[in-house]
Amino acid sequence: MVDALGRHLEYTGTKQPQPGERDSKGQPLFPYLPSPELVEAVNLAIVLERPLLLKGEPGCGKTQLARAMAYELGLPLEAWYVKSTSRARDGLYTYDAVGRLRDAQLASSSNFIKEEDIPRISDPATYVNWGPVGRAFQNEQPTVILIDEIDKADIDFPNDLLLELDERRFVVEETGEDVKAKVPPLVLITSNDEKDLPDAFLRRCLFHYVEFPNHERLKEIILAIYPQTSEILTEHAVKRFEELRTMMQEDKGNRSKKVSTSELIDWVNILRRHPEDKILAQLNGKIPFAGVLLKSWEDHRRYLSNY
Amino acid sequence: MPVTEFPLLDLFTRLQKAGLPLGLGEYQLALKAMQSGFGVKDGAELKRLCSTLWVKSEDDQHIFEYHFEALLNSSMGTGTAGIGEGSVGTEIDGATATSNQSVISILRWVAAGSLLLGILFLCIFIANFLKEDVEPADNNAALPIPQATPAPPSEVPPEELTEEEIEPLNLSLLWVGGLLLLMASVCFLGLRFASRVFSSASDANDPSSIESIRTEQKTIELDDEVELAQVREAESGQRSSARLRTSGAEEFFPITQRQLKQGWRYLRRPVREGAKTELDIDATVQQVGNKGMLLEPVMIPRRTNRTELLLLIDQGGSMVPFQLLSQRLIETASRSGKLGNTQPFFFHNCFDEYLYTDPVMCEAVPTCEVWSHLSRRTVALIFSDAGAARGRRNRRRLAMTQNSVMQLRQYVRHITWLNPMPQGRWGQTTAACIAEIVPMFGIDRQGFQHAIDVLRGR
Repeated sequence: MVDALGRHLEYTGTKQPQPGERDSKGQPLFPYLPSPELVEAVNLAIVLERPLLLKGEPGCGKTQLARAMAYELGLPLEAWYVKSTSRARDGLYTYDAVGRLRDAQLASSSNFIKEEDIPRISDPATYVNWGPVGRAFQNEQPTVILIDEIDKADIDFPNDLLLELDERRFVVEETGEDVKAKVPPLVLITSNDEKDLPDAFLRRCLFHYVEFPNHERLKEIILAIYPQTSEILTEHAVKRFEELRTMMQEDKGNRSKKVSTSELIDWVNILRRHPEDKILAQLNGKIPFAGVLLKSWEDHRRYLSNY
Repeated sequence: MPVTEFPLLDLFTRLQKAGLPLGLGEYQLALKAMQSGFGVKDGAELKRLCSTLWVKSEDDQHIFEYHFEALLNSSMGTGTAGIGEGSVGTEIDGATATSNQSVISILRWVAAGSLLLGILFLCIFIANFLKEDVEPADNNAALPIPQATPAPPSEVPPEELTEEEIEPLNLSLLWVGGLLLLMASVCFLGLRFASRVFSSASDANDPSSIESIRTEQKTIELDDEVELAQVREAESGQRSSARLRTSGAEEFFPITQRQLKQGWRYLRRPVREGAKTELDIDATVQQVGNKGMLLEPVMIPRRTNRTELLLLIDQGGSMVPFQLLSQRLIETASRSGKLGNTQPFFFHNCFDEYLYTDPVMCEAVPTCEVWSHLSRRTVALIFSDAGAARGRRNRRRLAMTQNSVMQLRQYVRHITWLNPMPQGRWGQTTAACIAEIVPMFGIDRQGFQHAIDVLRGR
């Protein structure tokens, strides 16, 4: 796939934002270090123009990938955070029927609406508000679309998106307008596996399971995000973190929540603000600032009582 | 092993048979990706490509790994000769390979033929030569050779043949035989040379297979449609024979996980309930018409599925073989349905005073307490063999079941019974009697759909 400037789109995962850099919406950007397998899956999705479905433990960076992709490829990002009440149409457009009724009312009383506004409010298209997918389809540039946590919505939700993802077009029912994607978007979908997705939907997606990073990669991630952190602190913190994770893995298996990468990042963020020798001493005993890592009373009792 | 020799289509059909949601388009997608340079470097990369394209969940990943390793081992073990028809390499070189094959087979026939004829002529020559050595001693007559060879005219009586006439005949025999043998050896040499040339040509094709995939894609598509059809046919044949296959025990069940999921989706009773979040345009316009102006929009709650499901699962004893099936029933109901609330309870043979919340039946709950939590939207599904597996009538069991079903009927909207034993086995057992008081169905696709219809009130 090529972008508007004719560049060949390829994600490498090597271009990282500088500390303090922000995206177009003012959100701070962080380095993202994807595994080579993930990079390959992303490029496959770009070449085949298919949505990429990402699953993985909570906090392993599924959502962050979309921002990293948009940053590296220099493309706009449209994020659609799905809620339990979301409907498939919300991502395409919403129609402001109340606004139209109100304007019609005001026009009939003729005092509140100016003459030059009449053509505008007579046009039903005025009241269409585009959703993330609708905006992405109308963009001249390929857009990264993030459909986050698709499994939170009703089980009909993914099926209602089939046509839009397959043929990249939809119809605005209120105006009859047929919206077709000008260029194929790059679609990333994340799921926490709370509900099974329908087969028809799965068939159209590429799937990648985001694996938990290994020791070396965890250290790389920490050093990329907090470059000032000392090597020794990183090494010890990651080691302690992995011990805790292994214990949780043994106790709970794959079923329940374990400490994740995002929690490690928060934890190191706190650790590095304190004197290093003090923290290093603490890391050998009871977990310091355990509240960042352990989120339930049961976990607190179980993993803190060992020391 | 080069990636192009991996039996990709075999893998695809195996996965499809194992129940992964794959269509022909997914296979083409893999070819397209390989044309773009993905997954052609080595086996690991090909594996990653296929898993990204064809695997859609963690469970599927296990199935995929199993089949991929099996195929990899089988194709490694038997070498090039053992690779199935579906291998990418053979498919790609299909057209050229067939022409090569025909050239080789012609050469082979010619060589064998000339070898045989050559040996025949030489034998005749030797026999002739020996006879000549012996025969001049006793008499000059009755040579059998002229009869065997067509060259001398048969009208000439053997007695009239002179030494001078026999000599060139024998010489020509020697010449013909020698030439034929020479031809045979040339043919054999040619054969060896040809096979070496063709094999090196196909080796040369491997790394640059992307090009050849591109040119040969049309033929591949045709081939693979035919093969898919064959596989489907074979599969349906196998299904009817209900044989346990290697692709997993799931095929053994009369109903697949997918069919269960699809069935549950019909069990819905949308009710507008909860917070008012949706705009009722019709009502709003109506209101504007009535009051003369827009005062406030009329909101209504969204439609949600309020069906609650009570699953009563018979556990232990004759139900042990169906444990996996009951587990799947619970799993599909709670994960993929649109049900408001799903609560499984367990019992052994009959439920009377207590039900259990866990399959190993440790946590008991008084039945009346369970009943008290039910609402009028609850429907109940009982999964039990109802004594059909034992194959006899048990009055006590019947009475107890009758009693508890009557009780349950007061609390729930509809009750249905799924029986893992086929309907033919119900006769003369407790199951037949229970089927008269509760709608009972066998657990296959049709039975499950009927059960869902009963729960929907049809």
